[in-house]
Parts: sequence; structure tokens; C-alpha cells
Amino acid sequence: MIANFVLDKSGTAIITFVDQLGSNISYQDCFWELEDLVEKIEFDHTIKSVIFTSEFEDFFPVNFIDGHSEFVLENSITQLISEIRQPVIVSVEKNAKDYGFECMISADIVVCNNQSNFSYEQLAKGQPPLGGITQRLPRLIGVGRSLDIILTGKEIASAEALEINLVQYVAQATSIDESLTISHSINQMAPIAVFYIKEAVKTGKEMTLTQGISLEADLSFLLQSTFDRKEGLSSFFNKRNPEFKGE
Amino acid sequence: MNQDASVVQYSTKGAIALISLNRPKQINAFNVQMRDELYEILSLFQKDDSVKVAIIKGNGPKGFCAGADLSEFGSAPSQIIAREVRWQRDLWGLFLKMQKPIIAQLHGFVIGSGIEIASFCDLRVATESAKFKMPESSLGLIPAAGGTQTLPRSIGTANSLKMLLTNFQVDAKTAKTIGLIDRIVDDEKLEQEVFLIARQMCNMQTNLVGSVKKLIRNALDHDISNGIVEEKFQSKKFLLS
Repeated sequence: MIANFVLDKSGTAIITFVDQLGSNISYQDCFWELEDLVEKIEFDHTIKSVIFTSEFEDFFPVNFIDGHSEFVLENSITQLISEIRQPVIVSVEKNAKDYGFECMISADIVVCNNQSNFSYEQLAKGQPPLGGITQRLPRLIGVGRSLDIILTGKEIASAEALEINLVQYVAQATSIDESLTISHSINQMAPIAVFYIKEAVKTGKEMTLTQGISLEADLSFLLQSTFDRKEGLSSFFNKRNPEFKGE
Repeated sequence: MNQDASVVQYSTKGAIALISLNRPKQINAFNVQMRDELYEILSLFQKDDSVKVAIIKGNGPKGFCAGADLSEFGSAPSQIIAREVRWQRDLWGLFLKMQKPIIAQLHGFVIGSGIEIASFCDLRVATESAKFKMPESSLGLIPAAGGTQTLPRSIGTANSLKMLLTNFQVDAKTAKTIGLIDRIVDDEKLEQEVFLIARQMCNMQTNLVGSVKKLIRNALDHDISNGIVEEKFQSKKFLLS
């Protein structure tokens, strides 16, 4: 096992890439394991948000990929992460390089440590991109900055990563504690509204603005039939905390 | 329109129109009457040849707009009718079609629909003490005035999700850093500074501004080569006019 799965009481699924010293784990093992986990998360309605974290020095070890490039292209962990229905936080405790970097930018929100460093050195090694970086990175930080990172392999420290919006939080203590605080805050929101917001934001960005606004309006009308919408408004007027059911 | 009873006021000073949200006791909470009046006033502004730029502001000291008036939620007879009305009075579509520039003058609370209105404007100027928040998901709702679409285009997907999924409050400094607003001014100088910017914009030709606004708004909706062809076409049209 490389991906350790824990579900906490508030509905956060925590997947940790575990460093098993001496074991002979390949990318394939990791992919199959994650594919099963992601399927489990998809159908578990108690799971409201997901955190990916890692015990490795690099978020996803480069040596897992070596010699498996074609398999990686066809069986993408970054795609698995990006297709999760729930909000996904990547918690980088140490560094994120190469495929780990691509995993990181496939999430919705990134939290790192104030000592974290980021880089993408695939091209310098004569290797092509394997996890969607040429498409996801420009959408996050713009074309110029993406080319700078991808073509030069430059290292980016946490402060700069925050400044250019590569990460959204820099934790002063541990990244996982900050990530848990964020996920617990998400878990308190109405789950269907959370899923619809994620859908509207991510799908809408790939549409024209007019089409995106239409999608948002339809999701908003659909939401009017939910128990949680009534509960949200009722709790607001009665000055109490809402008790959302995800219905 | 009786301006005293209006929840949106309209006045002009030279070539500058001033559109004021006028429910100060409710921190200008956005309601159906405001939607209808804003729709009328934006149409009027667009047709008024004596004005070239508008400033949209909120009356009262507490803020620009505290979001949607939740007391009206659920008042539509059905979701079907609510959807019909949404498209009959498509205020947000009208914002996108506006040829003339609109500046959002932001102070105090800028919450939910307040951010969404500002996001449809062309320039956002805020005071140092302004506060921004998107609380919809904490109320079992999602934004319904384009927020899930305009925010990712201005502050990126990740920052949008951070604001929309955690009800995270953003101060003016952070808002400027992430691109939610464009300028910060001292609290007491807001009106004066916005007026100066508006006066600068008055020097520009309305049809040229309208064409450039449209090109920029649509820039991310198609690939760059088509965008450049469209820009050349519009520029040629302007030069030959």
C-alpha cells in the first residue's frame, strides 16, 4: 500500500502517499490503488472534501515514474485527482517537483509549508510533460509564468508561489493542519451547493462567459428544490447554525 | 421614476452618470425591485448620449452591497417561473452588453451579489477598509448573478474556490493582489478618486471603448488567432467609420 486512506469525523478523506522504505513500489501500483480509492470517494456521500498529502521529500517521487512514461500518459493520476467530485486540497508538506508538481496543480486548493519549493524539470531531463501541465498551469498562473517555470526549470519558493497563485495558502506551522482547517470549513457548507459551485467554476471556465452564466443559473434553479437551501435560509433568519443534510 | 422611493438612483454630472444603490438601512441588499430598477437605469444610461461613463456606488456608510435580500428568496410561484423571469429581465446579460464603461465604487461590505455586480463593471475601486465575501454555500445556495463565472476569470479558479467554498473574508489589500479589485484608495478620498478616473474615461470615444470592451470580454472565449482576426476587423471598421 502506498496511499493511506483515513476518513475523519467531519467528512474529510485524507489520502497520504506513504514512504515505505525499501519497498519496490511502482507507478502502476500507485495508480491502481488510487483509482480504487477515487471510486470509493465518488460513491461515499459522507465524504465532503478530500486532502492529498505525502510523506515523501517530493510530493510524488520522480523514481516512481522512471521507465513508465507511456503507462503514465494512458493512466493518469493527475486526471484522477482533477475528476474528483468533492473539493480537493493538496497539502504539500515538503516539495513538489515534476509529476508531483502536476499532481499538485490538478487539485482545487493548494496549501504548502513555508519551507516548500516547487519546480518542473522534465524538459531539462529530455522528458515530455506527462500530467497535463501545459493545460492546467496557464489556467492557474497565466501563459508567461507557465513558460518560465516549464522552460527554465526554475525553483520557486513558497512566498513566490503564493504571490503568483501557484498555491493559495502558506502554512506557518504544518501544512496538513492548515489543510484540515480549510477542509473542515468546507465541510460545514451545504454539500450540494459546494458540488455545484465546483462544477460551475470548473466547467464554466471552459465555456464562453455567456454559456457559463447560463449553467450557473440552471444549477441555481435546480438547487431551489433542496432541503439544504430551505435550511440555510431558515437558519439565517433564526440566527442559528444550519444543519445541512446534503439533500 | 420617483427618485425618493427608488432603490436605485440616477443622476448625471457633465458626461458622468452616477448610479446609486439606495437601500442604505439594508446595506443596499439586492432585491427584485433593485434588479428591475437597475435594469431600467442601465438601459437609460446606455441610450443617454449626454453621458459617456457611469459610476455605480452604494448609499450609506456601511457598504456597497450586503448581498441578496434573503427575505425575498422562495417568493417566486415556482422554479419554472423564476427561471422565465431570470431571462426576461436579464440584468447580467445587459451588463455584458454595455458599450460605455462602468466603474464600481466600493466601500464597507461588498458581499455576494455586491461582488457579482462589481465583477460586471469595467474597473473596481475600493477603500482600504472594504471587506469582500461570498457566503452562498454557507446558506445552502450558489451564486446566481454570474459569480461562479466572472470570479474565475478575474481571480482564477483556485482563489474563486477558496472564496466560494469556505466563506473566506478578503480585505482590500488581498482583493487587489488576487485581482478582485483594481485600485485601493484612502477611505475619505474614494468619491474624489473615482470621479477623476471617470473624467479621464470621458475623453475616450464611446464606440471605440465599446468595441474594445467587447474584444476583451470575449478574448478568453475563443482561441488567440480568431481573437486577433476579430480585433483587426473591429479596428478596421473603426478606422473606416
